[in-house]
Amino acid sequence: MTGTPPLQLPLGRERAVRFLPWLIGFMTFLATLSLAAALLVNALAERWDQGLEGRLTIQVPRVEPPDPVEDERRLDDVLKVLTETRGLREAEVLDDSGMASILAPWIDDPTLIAELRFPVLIAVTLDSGELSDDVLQELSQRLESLAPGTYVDTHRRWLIGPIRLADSIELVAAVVLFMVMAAAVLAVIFVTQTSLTIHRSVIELLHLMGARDRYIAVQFQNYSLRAALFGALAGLLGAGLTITAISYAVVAADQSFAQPFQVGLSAWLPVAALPLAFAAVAAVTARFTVLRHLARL
Amino acid sequence: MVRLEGVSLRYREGPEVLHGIDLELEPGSFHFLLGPSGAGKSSLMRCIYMANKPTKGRVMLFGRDVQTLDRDEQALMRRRIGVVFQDFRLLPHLNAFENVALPLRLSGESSRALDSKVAELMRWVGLADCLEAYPATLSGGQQQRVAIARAVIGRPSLLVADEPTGNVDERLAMRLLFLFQELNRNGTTVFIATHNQALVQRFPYPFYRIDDGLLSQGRRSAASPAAAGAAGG
Repeated sequence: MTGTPPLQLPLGRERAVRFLPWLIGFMTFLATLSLAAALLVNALAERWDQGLEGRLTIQVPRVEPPDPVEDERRLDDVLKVLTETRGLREAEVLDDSGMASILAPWIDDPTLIAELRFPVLIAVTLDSGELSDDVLQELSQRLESLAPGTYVDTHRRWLIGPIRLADSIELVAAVVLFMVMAAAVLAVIFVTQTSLTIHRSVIELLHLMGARDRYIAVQFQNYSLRAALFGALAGLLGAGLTITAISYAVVAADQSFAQPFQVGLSAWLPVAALPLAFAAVAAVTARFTVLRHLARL
Repeated sequence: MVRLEGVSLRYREGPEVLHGIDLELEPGSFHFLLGPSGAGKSSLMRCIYMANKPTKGRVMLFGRDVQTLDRDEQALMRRRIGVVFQDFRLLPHLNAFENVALPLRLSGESSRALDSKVAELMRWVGLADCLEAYPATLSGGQQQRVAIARAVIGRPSLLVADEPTGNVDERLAMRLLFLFQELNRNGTTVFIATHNQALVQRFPYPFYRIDDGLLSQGRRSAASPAAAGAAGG
């Protein structure tokens, strides 16, 4: 006869309560999709950021009227300043073939490129992540004095859009997550109150035998924990399969989209923790709903 | 042990079902409460086992006014009271073993200790072979005995039984009352509500009479077997 004692309250047998795992499952499915979307967009923005981090591009305009000797002199002066500036590891002037390959999608005629007299581009690699604003400002001023019109591009302006988009998607995901959790809390409150009404006579009996409110609350709490965990794991599994199917479909359509889906395992931890979060929220909600209800008796 | 002072009870907006009841049960005593159906026996019992708060008056249990107890104290006090309900109130989804074990589980008794106590008590009520049986498969008399086993397993100081012989034949009724008698000899205060006057007359214990919500001390007729037994010995 020893072993795990059965629940004194026959929770989960009544029709009104049986849908709790389903409800939590659907909510976890939605929460997982929104969280995964935020995670992927965030990873993408970070990848762009890292790709451009530690690099500068310096544009040195050519002189007017055209004077190749003066252009060469200015470029030498700029390179000299760059090698003297602390924090810069390498400065590489983009030659004509490099320029041609960059512009190839728009202009495929090298002679036309030479005629258009594009600024000379210098790709600079930094020692560390990025230069401080003061150093950047000083560098810009020095280069401007040597070669008027020289522009130091930190690439930040290109990242502002994607980063704002990632932030917005994260915010939307957070709102969705909050709303789904709030809906889960309301569902658990409703289910628990229904269950309390259905089992009123058993609860009275347990009270008459000396059960404390906490004892009864723990039964509801444990039932809600198990039901929510079961539903949430099913929801997570469903969402996982959906994300996998989407990633296969997208990558099959265009290989360049493969990268965003290559997110490290540790980044998925918040998603994997969702069932635990739902189970914990359901358990705590059920407990407090019961304690509040019983205190009013 | 139990003292009721001017207790009146009304369910919601309904009529008063108990009128100014005064009652005292000494520790270790055995009393019957006799009265016809609808006289207020169950209502009085419910006040004693703290299922209802009186609308007027005071209920004192074990020297304490139950109105002054907080919910945790009420729970602890209820563990000292064994109740046999008129309709048994066995939990249908639990087997006989689990039904009887319920009070011990509530008080946090270990499963190991619980096994032997339940088995012993089920033997005492003659249901040693029904441990695994669910209430729906038991007869009325068997359910009644499981309910009694559940009421006494926690060795209560006070046993309150509402019509414990209402669903059983004469022979079993006597057997159940002998069980209560045995319990009383071990120090438990016993208070039994019944409408069966003949049964009350067979035992030499004092009884109260309740009619239309009014309580009075009962008097034995000189011809009753218990009175004769008492006179004889």
